[in-house]
Amino acid sequence: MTENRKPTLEELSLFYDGLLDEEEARRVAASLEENEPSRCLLAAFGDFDAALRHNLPEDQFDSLLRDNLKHIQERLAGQERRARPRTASVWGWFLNPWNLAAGFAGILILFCVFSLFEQQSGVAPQIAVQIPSGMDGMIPEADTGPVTNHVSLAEMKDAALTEAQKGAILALASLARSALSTGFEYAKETASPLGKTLESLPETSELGLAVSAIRSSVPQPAESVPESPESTLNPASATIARTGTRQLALGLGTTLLSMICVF
Amino acid sequence: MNAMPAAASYMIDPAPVEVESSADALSLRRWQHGDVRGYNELVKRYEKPLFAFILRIIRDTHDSQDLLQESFIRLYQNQDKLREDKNIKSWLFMTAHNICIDFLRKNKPGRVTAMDHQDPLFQVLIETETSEGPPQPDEQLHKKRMYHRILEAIENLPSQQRLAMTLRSLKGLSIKEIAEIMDCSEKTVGTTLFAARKKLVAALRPVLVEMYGENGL
Repeated sequence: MTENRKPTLEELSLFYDGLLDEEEARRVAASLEENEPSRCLLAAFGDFDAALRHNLPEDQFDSLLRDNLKHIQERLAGQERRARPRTASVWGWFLNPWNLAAGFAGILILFCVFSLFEQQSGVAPQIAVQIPSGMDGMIPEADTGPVTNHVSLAEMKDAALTEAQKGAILALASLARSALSTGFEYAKETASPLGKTLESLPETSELGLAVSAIRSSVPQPAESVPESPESTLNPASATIARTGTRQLALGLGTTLLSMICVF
Repeated sequence: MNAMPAAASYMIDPAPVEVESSADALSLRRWQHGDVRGYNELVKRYEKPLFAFILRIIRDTHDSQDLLQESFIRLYQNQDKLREDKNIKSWLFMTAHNICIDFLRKNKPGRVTAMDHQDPLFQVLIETETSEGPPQPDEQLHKKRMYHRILEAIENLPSQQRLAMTLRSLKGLSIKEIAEIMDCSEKTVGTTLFAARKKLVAALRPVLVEMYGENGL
């Protein structure tokens, strides 16, 4: 290969890209001094790149990209918001420390309310039982046999709940039932394992009947008629939906369970 | 017209790959340690070259802005997979290229030429290149027309050759980085660029003769 040999188009291209080894690059560079067509070709390569660069509105990049980072952050935040309900499961929800704390708080509130009513009601009033005259003979003889499972009237009166206690318990039970129903719907909507299990329960099984009873106790939203979510739920569920705090629902559910344990 | 630069100026501009890589590694380390400013640094460092690259492929500023954001979102989503020894710049360009290809397949499957610009910004550029327009210095107008014809020829290249030419035209990308983006060796990049230039020289011979004279080529 002589020093003055005209470089090929390939050699020129590789030289332009810096892909020739040192010796070859030196030879091509030397030949360029005497070889006008090769110099023109190299200049043409430069023009190809310049044409591609020329067509870009680089002077407007600053204004076009001014809010780029802000938009990226907004889109990332939006994606995270959208992804959250899909990844949340009922089990994860139950194991959330905040939800557990809400559950314990519910139990604490229940005991506080219960002890408050206990203090206010005091001893149950004694009821005088009068036996009409002439009925003495009809009174059966006292059973002298061994007493088993016998609860006296006074004991029953002592154990009787006041109207306020009954009202509070019924209200709590209603709220808890609504909370459970809302929980079922949530599990069904998110297609969680719990939701699928509940859906697949045989209707004749005890658990299936219990689930159906709880779900049927709360009006279900009609699929064909688009209504506001609040209008399809009973007032208690609507309240929960409005507050949007799942912790409240869990707290009430835990309250129901604790009530069952207490009574 | 025939003013030739010195031979040394033809040599490829050695991109400061090492410096950028170490800065990227630093930003990545910060980001992976919970400092989101590291991520922001990467966005700021590469948004312009990446936007130029996407804009060259998509040719619509609005879509390009969208795809640029998508590229950086992918970067965010792959935080755990990125390693300091990897070239983030190449990764970003490769990802952006894939996003652009997907976008074109879905939205503009029939687009093959450079001249179907939808973006008003590009329309203005094309018009100034092709129409009589406001009076401009002859040489400048002539150059713009030449560039327009070169772009037409580049659009007719096979996709890999067009990609190689596009990447090569961007400032700051070394052949090594282009090879990483195209997932091939540096030698293959050189061969692809040579094949592209060979076709361009053949297709643009009348233009080049006009530019450099009959003796030049």
